Amino acid sequence: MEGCQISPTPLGARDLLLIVDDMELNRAILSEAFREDYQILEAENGLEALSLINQYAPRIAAVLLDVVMPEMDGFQLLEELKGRSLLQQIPVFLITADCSEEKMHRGYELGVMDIIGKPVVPYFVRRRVRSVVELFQAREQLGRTVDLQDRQLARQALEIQELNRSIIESLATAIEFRSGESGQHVRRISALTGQLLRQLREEGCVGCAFSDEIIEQISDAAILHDVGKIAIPDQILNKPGRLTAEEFELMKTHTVKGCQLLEQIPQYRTNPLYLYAHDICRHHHERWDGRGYPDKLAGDEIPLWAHVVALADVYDALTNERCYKPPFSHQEAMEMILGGQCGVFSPALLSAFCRLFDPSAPDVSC
Amino acid sequence: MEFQELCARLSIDYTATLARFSGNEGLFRRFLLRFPSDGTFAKLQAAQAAGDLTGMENSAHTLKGVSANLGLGKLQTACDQLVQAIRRGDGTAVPGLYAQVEQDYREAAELLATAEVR
Repeated sequence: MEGCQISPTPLGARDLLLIVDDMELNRAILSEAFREDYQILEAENGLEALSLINQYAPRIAAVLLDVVMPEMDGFQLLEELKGRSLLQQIPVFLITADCSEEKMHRGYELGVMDIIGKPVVPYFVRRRVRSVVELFQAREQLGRTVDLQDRQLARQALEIQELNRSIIESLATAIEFRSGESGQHVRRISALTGQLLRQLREEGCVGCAFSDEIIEQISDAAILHDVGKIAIPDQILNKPGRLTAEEFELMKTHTVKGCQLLEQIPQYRTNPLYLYAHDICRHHHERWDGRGYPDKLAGDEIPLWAHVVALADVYDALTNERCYKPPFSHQEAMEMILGGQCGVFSPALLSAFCRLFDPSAPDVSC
Repeated sequence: MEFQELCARLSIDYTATLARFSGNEGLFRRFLLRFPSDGTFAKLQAAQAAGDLTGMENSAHTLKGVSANLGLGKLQTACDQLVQAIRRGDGTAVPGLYAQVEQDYREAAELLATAEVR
């Protein structure tokens, strides 16, 4: 083996040519033919060749392979390389005196790129090897470029998604800030919405076979549920006492105003997130019994995602402190919700909600 | 004598064979002059003496390759005929064809061993 004085090379370049033949004369003739284009590795049999390939595979441009050799012959080596999926990366040329149809057939079946008869004519061998090597390297280069672009695209998509979410969160936080809250409320509602949707999907409820991507879109959209409050005057939004009937009517318009605001966003028509957000803004105060607002939708007329956000909103408002009330415990909040003191919800949703916290709770409705 | 003259005496096509060595005459010369010490013919001889037809076929095949690379056309042809005869099971032709290989080999080897090439 004369592959011991191989000098290092810039990463990714295929600068080696492996010549496998038990006859020194044959190796010398092929080495001489390729000396100017490659650093040459030589092996006297398949076993030596295999060890060189194991060591240098990413740098080998091509293998010139004799068939009849001691230790491990050319066909055995091909079997090994095929088993390691190396023949897609490194083109192998059979160099043989026996160009019988049977041998050639076997060679091509095993995946050699070309079969060259002995005695070789260096000029022709160089031409044939070069065109195949160029093809392999162009393909490899293209594959690398596509990989790189795929990764860039995936990263950019993620960045856009992050940016999108941060804009939504900024907007929602600004609105909460006006009513003296921290922004944590919308984040908790978003998280609880995601958990509830996954619970519903797991239970196999009708209409709840959401993909992970859709659940993420709805959870992000949930952040925007109260975006319409930006249009509600401070003295109503932050009024410490009870609202008058007139003030309450005005307060209720935050649902419709939210939709009007979303309609101003250019991506509104194309981004599914905004379509969910639109439903959620408008319908997160509807009630299962049809006595909510603004459209008095009842039962399945209420878009499921809006109904889920409504429940998450109520639960979060109960379990956290407000200027007009202390926080209730989880147990108290559950009793109030199940007792119908805080709106009316779909039985299936309530059932899934209970099991979200207590997996042993009975399934009453799905 | 000159290397080219030696080639002519051995009926080697100098230009075609030099091309096989990619124009490197030093390499061509080194392998041609080393030919008498190549052990392939000795293996063929031993296989013949032992009546080992498979051994003869293998050695004759190898010798054919070496002589083809070195441009020794007569020896290449003789080896090829011997290989063909063994492969088709033509036992009666083998001794005559072997004798031809031996004669062509000795002729080339002796000339190469005694030549004083400049």
